[in-house]
Amino acid sequence: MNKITPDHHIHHAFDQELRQLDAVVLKMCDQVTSLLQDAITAVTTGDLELASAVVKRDQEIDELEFLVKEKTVQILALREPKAVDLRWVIAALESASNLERMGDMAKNIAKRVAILTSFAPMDGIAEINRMAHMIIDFMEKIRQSWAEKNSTPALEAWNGDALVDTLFDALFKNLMVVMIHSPRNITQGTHLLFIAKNLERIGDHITNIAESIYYLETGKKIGSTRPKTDDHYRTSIPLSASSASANSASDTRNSEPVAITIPKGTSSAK
Amino acid sequence: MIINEQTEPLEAIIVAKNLDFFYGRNHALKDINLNVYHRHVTSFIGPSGCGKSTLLRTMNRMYNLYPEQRATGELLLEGHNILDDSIDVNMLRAKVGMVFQKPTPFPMSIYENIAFGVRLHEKLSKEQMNERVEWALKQAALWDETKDKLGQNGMNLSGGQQQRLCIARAIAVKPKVLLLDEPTSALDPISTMHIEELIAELTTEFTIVIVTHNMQQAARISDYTAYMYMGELVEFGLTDQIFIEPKEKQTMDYITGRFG
Repeated sequence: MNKITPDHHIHHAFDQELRQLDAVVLKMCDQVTSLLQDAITAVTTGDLELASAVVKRDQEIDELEFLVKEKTVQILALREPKAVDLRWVIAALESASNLERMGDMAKNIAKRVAILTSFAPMDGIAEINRMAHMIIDFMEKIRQSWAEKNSTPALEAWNGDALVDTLFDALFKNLMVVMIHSPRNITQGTHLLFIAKNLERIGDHITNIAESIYYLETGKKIGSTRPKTDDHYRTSIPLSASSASANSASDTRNSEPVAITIPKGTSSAK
Repeated sequence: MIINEQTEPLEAIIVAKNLDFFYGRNHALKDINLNVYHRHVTSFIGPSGCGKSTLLRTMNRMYNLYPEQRATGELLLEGHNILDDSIDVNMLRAKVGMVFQKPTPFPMSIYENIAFGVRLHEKLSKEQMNERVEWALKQAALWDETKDKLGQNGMNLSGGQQQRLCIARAIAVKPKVLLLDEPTSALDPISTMHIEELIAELTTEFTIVIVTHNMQQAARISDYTAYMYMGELVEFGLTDQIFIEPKEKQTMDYITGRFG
């Protein structure tokens, strides 16, 4: 396949417009990654100042998304792009929309830091940190794919999202057990669950962007079905199981106690 | 050359097989193999001099007027090779009508513009002719604007109306195929939209082949698109595929406005 570049249009200004559009999407990738990194640092260190900065900086991402929208509309109206150029601007628009939501979720994570710092540290933060780093690794792959117009790194992230889901499921069960065992942990546990859910959703947005990049490159939908591992929707922990041990739980499907294990080395995407 | 797989099950009304065309020594069409599908719109696009108008003109043997021009290979219309010397060119042109870039109404009444061609091929009563004229003008979406002034000179109509009159004249003889050679390039944008809308409506009865320099027009109105370059058919496929995901780099460069 020929390398996709914005170059060699008879109208040179169009090359420049596609480059500018690209630059904004890449800037969004960088800012969302940085925002997420800072949000997680704030969660793990209890840094309220950093958390507050994250909340403010989300606004910049919203503005960049609008810039992508404006540039896309301008290109559609004035250049009537076709084929790969058309797919390019559509993918940029879709990606920007996903990145904007990811920024919102990083902000939502940061907003919970204040309440978390008012409690003693609780199990689960380390797992959240692991999920976040896996996601940041995937974000770097997405950025690389956008910059190179090559979906291979993005597809690694797309496949790797199953690991994020697995981590989330395990953490979900763990936190439920901890909360049932010790109701004084419910406030923190609930906030940590929402943080974990936000991370899991960010992972889903990454897969959307990977699909957009694949479409940009090939004009096609990714052929295979994305591996799904999240089954927390069916998880319930009976009180009797939790009172026996915070480290065991039962599943509604078989009511047998099951050991909770968070997969080791799941940030293997690197 | 790439042919999209989805094109195969359709009924081809025109089939070009190893078609070559020469203007004297100039080899203008090179080994063209192409199907034109029944009651669909097929557009030919490509830069000036690529052979798209030449290919269109072979389809009703316009080149016959010029002794130094010749076509070889096969060009089948419903299975009959129209390049055969035995073909009656007048009959061929009744089956394969043509409309040109600039509107060319005859300097006579609107009614006569249409009746004139019909009389060459059919003997109709006055009443039948009236019906035919009305039918053709309705098909060309010109009836409402002209029904009260059929006796007026066709040259007095606006450019867009004149072009629709030419389309009405072409379809009045009930051809199988209508060839349109840049039919809107001399028209304003609103008249162009009327003609494009008309082309879409005409596919319920006719097969249409159109040459256009306006790629967006090809994208808007055609079902199939052929991209030609230097006398060769580079790519042929469903219009959606050609404009969203062309297979050939040459096609991609042309439709995205890149210099190849």
